[in-house]
Amino acid sequence: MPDAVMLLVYALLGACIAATLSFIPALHIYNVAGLLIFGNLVGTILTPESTAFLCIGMAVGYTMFNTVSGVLFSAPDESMLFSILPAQRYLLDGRGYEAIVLTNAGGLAGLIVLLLMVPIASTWLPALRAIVQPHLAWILWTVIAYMLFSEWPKGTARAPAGIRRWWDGWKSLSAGLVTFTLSGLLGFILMYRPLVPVEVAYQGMLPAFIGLFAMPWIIQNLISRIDLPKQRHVDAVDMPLPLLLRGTLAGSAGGLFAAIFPVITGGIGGLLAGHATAQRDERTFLISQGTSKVLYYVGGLLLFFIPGLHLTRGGMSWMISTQYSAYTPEQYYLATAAAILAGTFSFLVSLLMARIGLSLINRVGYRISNVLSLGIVLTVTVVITGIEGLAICAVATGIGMLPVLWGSRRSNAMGVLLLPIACNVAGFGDIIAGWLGLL
Amino acid sequence: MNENANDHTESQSLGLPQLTSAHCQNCERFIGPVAICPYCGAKHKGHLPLKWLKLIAVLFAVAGLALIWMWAKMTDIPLVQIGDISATMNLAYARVQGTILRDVNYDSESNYLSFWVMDDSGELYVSCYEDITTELIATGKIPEIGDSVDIAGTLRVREDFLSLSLNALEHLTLTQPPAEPKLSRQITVLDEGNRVKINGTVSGIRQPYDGLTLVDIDDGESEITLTVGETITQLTGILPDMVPGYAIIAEGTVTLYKGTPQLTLTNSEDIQTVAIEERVEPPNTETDATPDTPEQAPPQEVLVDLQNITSDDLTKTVLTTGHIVMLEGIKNGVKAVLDNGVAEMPLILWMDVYEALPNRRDFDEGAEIELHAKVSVYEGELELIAQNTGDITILTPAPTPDWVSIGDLSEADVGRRVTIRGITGEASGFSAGVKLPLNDGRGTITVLLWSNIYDAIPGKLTSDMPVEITGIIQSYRGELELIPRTQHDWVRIED
Repeated sequence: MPDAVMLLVYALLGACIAATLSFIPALHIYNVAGLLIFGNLVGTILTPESTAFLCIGMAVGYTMFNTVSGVLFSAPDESMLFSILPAQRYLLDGRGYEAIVLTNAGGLAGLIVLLLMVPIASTWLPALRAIVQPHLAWILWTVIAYMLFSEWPKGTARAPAGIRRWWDGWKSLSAGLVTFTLSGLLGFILMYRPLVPVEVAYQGMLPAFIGLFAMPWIIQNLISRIDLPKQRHVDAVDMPLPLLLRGTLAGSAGGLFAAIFPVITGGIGGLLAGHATAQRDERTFLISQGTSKVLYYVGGLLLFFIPGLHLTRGGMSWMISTQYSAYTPEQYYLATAAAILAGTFSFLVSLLMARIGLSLINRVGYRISNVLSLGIVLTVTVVITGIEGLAICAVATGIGMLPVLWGSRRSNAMGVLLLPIACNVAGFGDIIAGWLGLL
Repeated sequence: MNENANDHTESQSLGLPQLTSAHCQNCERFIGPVAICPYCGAKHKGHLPLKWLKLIAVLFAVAGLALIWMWAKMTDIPLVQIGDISATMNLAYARVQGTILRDVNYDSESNYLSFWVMDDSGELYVSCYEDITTELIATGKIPEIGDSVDIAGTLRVREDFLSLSLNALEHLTLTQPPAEPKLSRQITVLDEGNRVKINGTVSGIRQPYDGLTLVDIDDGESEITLTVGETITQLTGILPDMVPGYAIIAEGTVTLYKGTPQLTLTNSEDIQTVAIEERVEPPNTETDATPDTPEQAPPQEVLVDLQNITSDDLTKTVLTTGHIVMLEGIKNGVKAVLDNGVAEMPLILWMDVYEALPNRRDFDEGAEIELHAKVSVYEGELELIAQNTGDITILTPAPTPDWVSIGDLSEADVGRRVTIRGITGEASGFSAGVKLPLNDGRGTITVLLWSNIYDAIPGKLTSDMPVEITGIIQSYRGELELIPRTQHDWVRIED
């Protein structure tokens, strides 16, 4: 079998791995990809190139299958009581399947955007990078400011007038600022003083991410006492073309922004895309989220393959870059082909997985699936990062629970990366690290 | 409970959203786990009291972070061997100890500095981005080839490339081993990486391409090449002037070029030139002191015009006359240019002769003198050397230099000899000397003291010192500088 075909097969295999793991909420594909390297599989069972394409398949598959577990196995948290995200609203209306289809349709559109970018990517993106690079510091701080300032009070307006009413409005905002600050300080500590064994430093942020994002999700699901209504199967989804295009456009902007800029994650890209569309139509919002997610994960990964750019964005790129380098346009075209193939395959399979998920959800229920998830993520944390990682995970969980319990945005926990890196890019990260006694 | 079950059945049959325990039993809105409905205020038994959970979460987060912080402060950055670094160490904050065995690279446009560190097990590329590089240069903590390095930063492991980014100045420790004086023939390939000091004469200067200067040094037994990269001058200052024939003392690290040892300069300050090596040594004032007596008069009394002095007169003493049109300081003396209107010739006065001149201020630009001097040659050019003060007769004293105010100086004054009184500021060193600001109340000018003059100025040079300085006005990068020619151009005004 020709090498290129074999590599496409590896990409499909990666998508299958992602599909298999998709019913484990909160298990990130980066954790699984990390096990490939941790398990020393590269160079023994897998070649560096086949590992790269396997990872492409896993990343693409994750963006599609993660929608299934994200919609079906999560639950609205307290912060969403007043702005229940459309996916959760769909779920509570028994239309979880439609939410999955709309989101993944956006993802499929995102793959088409990536395909359309191929002819211009190797010329435009290096130029764009050169233009943007000197301005990185203020752009990052602007994003941080927007993220913090765009959060609105979530008070009930029923508290007695005076300080209690003020606190009622401001407590969620304060929680957001506290979350950002505490997670940022945690980020500083982890970046300047590695606490996990140096041999597994490539997963040094894993316990923090699991603690900040995965654990609160699981804990929230466990305490939320959710009994979902019966979910409906549909054969058609109302998705007019203009609406699809609008959502794709907004999602592309947010996703590409997140993919190209360091530290800006898919969550923040989604936030920007969501703000661009949320006021118009819930379907547009869901489509934009799907597009944004694909462009962040897959687009960011493909930046690594673009000749003349070789931008390392996202955890998967960082892991691949330790084993493999792409130099030729052919490798970029092949990687894009692999992403499109695995993405289309994953989209189709995700519809099937959604149906399986809908039937499972009534049989197994939230609690069991979430207890299972809890066991898996904790095991992954301990196996890879040891007892030190577990300690970091525990503290990060405490910080990650703040937005859940106090009703602020979870994206504030991205301070773990945003704050130290924005400080470093602006040139005073080492000063703050010095104040913290970390130098 | 039965009522709820009935409601569920009823709502299902009506096609309405089903009510669950996560919905308010009063207003039927979704409330999740909270105990009090935020919409209608109805209380719900069995829901977790989130108020306590919220407080516990805050306390746990803050206390936990404090513990992590204390733990981190007590944790040392792990020391790794370069050869042991693997893919799973990507992005580790780690420490490496080794030696710099290759040239340090510096890009002045992006202010990016990089170098290679080698230990027993391998080699690692170190990157210093803009802000850190700025700090390194400002603090003079510049890595140099041959330095021992202890460095901590973020490891970057690529398929075929290992690198480390320096994130904090405090995480770089440089130790430069002392230079061992050696003859060039003693330097072998086994000395690679060692610092040595060599003393010799510049026998040639080449520039194979822009950015690299090769200085051949002959120490009398053999030659060795001193390589000077552009990076060195960018980071540590310009090199002192030198031409073939100059005596040179250079410190550097031994590197190999195609298997041949060479000396690599790591700092502009590590090179000193002495422009007297080929000249007749100055007389020893203690043993050869000769009184300024008529007995020392030159044997030939015939006045010889400058244009008539030729190489046939080498080592002879001639009587000649002319005007001093230029005076500058050189190592261990001064050099004047004598002009008789037809020809010019350099005149050397060693410092003991110059200092013994009874009216030293009269011996300056514009003075007309008659002298007995020995004819010598330096770099193929004839020159005169005055042997003692009695050889010099000042026919017309030099005009007193103009007293000027700094505020009145402009580019038009470049080349002019002036005297300025003022108060010194904070001195700062550069590769070939010291610069300090001089303020006379109407302006500030930079005074440039070459190393030999700075070293010869008696007493400690401090700021806020009232001084009177004579020198030549020069322009450097659009700014005027005052350049004293000898230490005698610097006079401290006693309070």
